[in-house]
Amino acid sequence: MDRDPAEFRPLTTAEFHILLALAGGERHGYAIMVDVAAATQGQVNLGPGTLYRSIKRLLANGLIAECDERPDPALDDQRRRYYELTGLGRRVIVAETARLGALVAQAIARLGMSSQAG
Amino acid sequence: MFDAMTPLASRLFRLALRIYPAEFQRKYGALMLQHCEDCYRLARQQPGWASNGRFWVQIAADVLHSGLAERMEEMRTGRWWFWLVVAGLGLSIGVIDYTATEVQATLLVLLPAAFGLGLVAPRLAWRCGAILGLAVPVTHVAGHMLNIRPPYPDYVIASLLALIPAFLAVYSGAGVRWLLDKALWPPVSS
Repeated sequence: MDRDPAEFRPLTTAEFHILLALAGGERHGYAIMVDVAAATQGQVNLGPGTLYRSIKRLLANGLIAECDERPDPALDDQRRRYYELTGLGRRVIVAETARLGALVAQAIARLGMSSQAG
Repeated sequence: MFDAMTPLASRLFRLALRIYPAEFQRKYGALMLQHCEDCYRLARQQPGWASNGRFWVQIAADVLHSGLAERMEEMRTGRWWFWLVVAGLGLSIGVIDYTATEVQATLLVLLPAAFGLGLVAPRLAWRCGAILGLAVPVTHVAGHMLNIRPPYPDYVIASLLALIPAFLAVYSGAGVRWLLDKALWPPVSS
């Protein structure tokens, strides 16, 4: 039976960004960190402890899955464990993004801000 | 091309990983070390020694924070173990209070114990504070029942005052934990 994405709300900051990074395709841990740092202009830096604690929880909840271990040609010849988003994980990140988007829209409307404000 | 972590740094990081539960170390220890080495190489691309220092401070804070959180998660899922520790601390504090002639001795143990519990288990703060605070009057009552006289005139009702520093300290620990969480993570949503 399909699980309700609302079960997993709210996601922690790290979980949200990891799922978002994996929405772009399978990645290993370091690539996830680089992706998240780039997407947040360096505001969110996933240290090894935080990254793998979050990965552990996401794996346990079935939101991500391990793919395989292989080297990343862009880095070195060390084997790296890759992760991918599951169908449930994709539904969860879509639902959470929609929820946050609605929250932001409500805040902008209430504060009388321009939607272009940044 | 870029500097790798020195063997000493790798050894120190492996030592720091022991803060995590054994199962977590087994599954993720090697991956975390690899990640740390990758981050180190990235940090070395920044000029100056300050970036190196900042890198290690961030790594230390990350490992300490997440390691303690993982330990507490393990305790929560095996809750009996955690409450056994809390009860043991309470009993120790009660015995110290009953046998010491100065209240400072009690506070020297009660305050850091309560603060530590608030720091590692903020959601269990009120229960930990209650257990530690009530352990003192309970130990006084037990002492009277066992006919063990304290070295001073004893008023069991007055020993209930231990609840005040217990709650103050445990919620201080919880407050520091909240600040640490806020400092390490910018909010994504309200």
